[in-house]
Amino acid sequence: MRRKPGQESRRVGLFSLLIPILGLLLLATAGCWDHLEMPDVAWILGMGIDLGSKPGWYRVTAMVINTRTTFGPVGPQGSATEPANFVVSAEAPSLLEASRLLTARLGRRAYYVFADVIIIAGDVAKQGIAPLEDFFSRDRQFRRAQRFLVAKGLASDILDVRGTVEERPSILITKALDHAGQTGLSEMVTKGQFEQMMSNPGQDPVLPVVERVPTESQNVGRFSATLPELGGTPAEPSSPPEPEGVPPESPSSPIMEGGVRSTLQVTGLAAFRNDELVGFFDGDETYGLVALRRGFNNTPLTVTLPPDQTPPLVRIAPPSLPPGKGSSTQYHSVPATPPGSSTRPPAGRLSALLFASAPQIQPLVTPSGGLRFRVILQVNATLTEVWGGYDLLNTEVLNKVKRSIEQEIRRRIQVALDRCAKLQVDPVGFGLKLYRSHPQRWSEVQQHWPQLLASTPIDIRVELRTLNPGLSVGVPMHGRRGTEGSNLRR
Amino acid sequence: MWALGTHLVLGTATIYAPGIVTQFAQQDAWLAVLLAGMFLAAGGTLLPLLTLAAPGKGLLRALEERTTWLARPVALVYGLFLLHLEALVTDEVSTLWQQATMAQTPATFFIVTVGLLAAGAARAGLETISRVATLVAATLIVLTPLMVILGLNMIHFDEFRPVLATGWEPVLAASQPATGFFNEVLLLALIWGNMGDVRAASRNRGQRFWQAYRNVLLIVLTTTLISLVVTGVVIAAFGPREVTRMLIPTLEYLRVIRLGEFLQRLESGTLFFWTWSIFVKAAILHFLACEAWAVTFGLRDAKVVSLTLLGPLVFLALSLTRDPVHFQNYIMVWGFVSFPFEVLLLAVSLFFIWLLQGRVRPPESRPAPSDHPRKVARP
Repeated sequence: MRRKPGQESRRVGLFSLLIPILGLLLLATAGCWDHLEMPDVAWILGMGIDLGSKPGWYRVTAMVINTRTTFGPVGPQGSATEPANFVVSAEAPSLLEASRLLTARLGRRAYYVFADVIIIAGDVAKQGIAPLEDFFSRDRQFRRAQRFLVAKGLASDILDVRGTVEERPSILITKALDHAGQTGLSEMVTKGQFEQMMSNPGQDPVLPVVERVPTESQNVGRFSATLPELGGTPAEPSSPPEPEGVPPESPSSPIMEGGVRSTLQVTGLAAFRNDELVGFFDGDETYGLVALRRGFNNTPLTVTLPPDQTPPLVRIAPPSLPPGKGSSTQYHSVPATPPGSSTRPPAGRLSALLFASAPQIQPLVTPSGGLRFRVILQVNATLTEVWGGYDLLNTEVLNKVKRSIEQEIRRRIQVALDRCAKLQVDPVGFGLKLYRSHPQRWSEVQQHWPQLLASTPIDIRVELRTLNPGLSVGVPMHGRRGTEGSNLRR
Repeated sequence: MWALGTHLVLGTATIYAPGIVTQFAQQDAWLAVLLAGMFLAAGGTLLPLLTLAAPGKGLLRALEERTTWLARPVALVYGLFLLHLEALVTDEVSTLWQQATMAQTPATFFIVTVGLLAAGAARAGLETISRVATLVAATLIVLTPLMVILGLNMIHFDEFRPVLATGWEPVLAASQPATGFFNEVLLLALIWGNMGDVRAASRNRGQRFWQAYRNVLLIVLTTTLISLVVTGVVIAAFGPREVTRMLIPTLEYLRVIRLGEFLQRLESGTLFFWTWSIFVKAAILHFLACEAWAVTFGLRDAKVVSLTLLGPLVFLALSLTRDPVHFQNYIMVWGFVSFPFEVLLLAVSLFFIWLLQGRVRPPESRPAPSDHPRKVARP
């Protein structure tokens, strides 16, 4: 089709407009004055903040990628002998000045964009995090998705540990936080979430706690953990042999403390009132608090049933054979093991994986001004270990097991609430719930909310909706069931 | 027409409106955006009235046909206002890029680049601008729900509670700056006749009104919906208090989106499309400013002043460059600042157009083009 002259000029005009636009935008997105070259920056994966040697000063520690091992050639044996990262510290009256000192010491511009973790020492947190938050909020290198943690001890010590499974402490911490829900020992909190908790009315922030712990294993590269709730004591650490190819004074080897290697552990939560650290949640307190804040996500729970609630073992009797039918198979009845007569774990213990979304928290305000809260937590559980040979197809047995699990969850939640009352903090957000549902009532109580919450009744309801037995309903070693009062399986 | 009107609003509203509106109304900011859309739907009736009063004509050209003693001052006021607005928009690009990624790049670079491109686009003509606008508007409409979907795990609808806890006053106060952004659609009155329906003459007045108003409603619907989604999603993700702290909440939302190790750090791509949108808005405003200044000087063709206006534009943008915080404070009262120009002046001009209907002069009696022959409009 023949184009008119006007159409042709418009098409030319359009293309002549688009091409310089694209070109200039490409130039702009390439960086212009802000272009960055890889050799000019120091890639920082983790940042730690401690108190400086002088009053009012901070000590900033950065865990920097060793680009020679990360991007450079490997050694003749096929494995790099240099550490994957190294740690640099600087002290200054402000975080920005400390960061600039780091740049001077590194010879490269400190680049925090890829910093996964920001670790704040407990002593710094006690003085208040608000000044640090201000720095992290304004600088565009820091993102809301970066993880915040509180260190028990020095933050620089945390970053100076070489992990066993994961070499870089920041990645080790990140992975531990990602799986925190599966342990019930802590919770991941990002910078943005911490800021949001600080700004929300009626809620106090919390942060996960990281600490350095000695490893128990005598073999380098192996790490075993004993969870407190499972009982037992960690093995005595001994001096392990030096790994081959690693000189004893090399910064790549884990820090030695009296011959003991160290690794990192993320357990517990740090409680803040406004922006000041006021205490810690440990063990069952953390478990209950995480349940109240986020629910359960594949979280384990071990329950020991009291003796009077232990359902009777199923006794096995040889099946009666039909007349005329012989069998060479001998069946034996297995008597119940007398209590304390063997080294086996006592009957009446079970473990389960819990799944639940965050609980419903309902503030109830009476016309007279009384206040109480109702917490409803609906849980689904999957059994993973059952010691005692229960017949889970028995409704009575199943209900007893369910009630035991519910009681244990309720107990742990209550322990967490007691700790909140003692510290006078509200990390769950009861005040926030009250503000959203009854803003007028909140305006009346917000001034003395922590004290009021400690004396406010909280009704905890845990409903175990489904209890999955897993792929098996019993242990195979007890044979087939007898006929007395139990169902036959055909 | 839809694409031009959409960009006139969204070029700025999606970036600055959420934070400013939330400062006033907190979690009820979405109500304020809704109110602003309703106000625009009401004020947008002025555009179809222009169609009835002066079919096929823009506001200033229609006024010029009837009287030059009124048209020239009105055009001058519009010209200055549009130049001022375009300078703000051009400066917005530098603020956005400097805050987001390029702190060391001087503002002059962004201002001169965008100004030059906007002038070139205005010279290329309205059709060129509208084609680019259509392309970018479609992209923005696709990006908006995508933005919501990618950040679904961050969204908590509890953040919208309590609703209207402090009453309607903060919501009405918040609707003021939002209305200032939305009412920029009414600036299309200057070129409204260029986009009219060619079959309008065959319809009765009611049909012509509805035909024109339908286009306005489409713009209102698009802009209100997208602004509502953007404002709502940042409040649902961060909470109203955090949004109040942020300079550009929408940018912060994009920075937080993280799906695995692959889909993260998406703000660069979004900045790219936002820059297109802001550029299209600057180009439209430049075209409108050219039209206003052309009427001021009695020129037939508006394109001849497009490059001429580049100098004052850059000078004004550089003079207006200020701290982002001060810029935000100015935007807070933008509804009051812009209302006389975007609504009142339009209404008054419309009134005089209607009043002076009998005074339309034949083309031969109108002043001949006083410009150089080579500046005569090309067919």
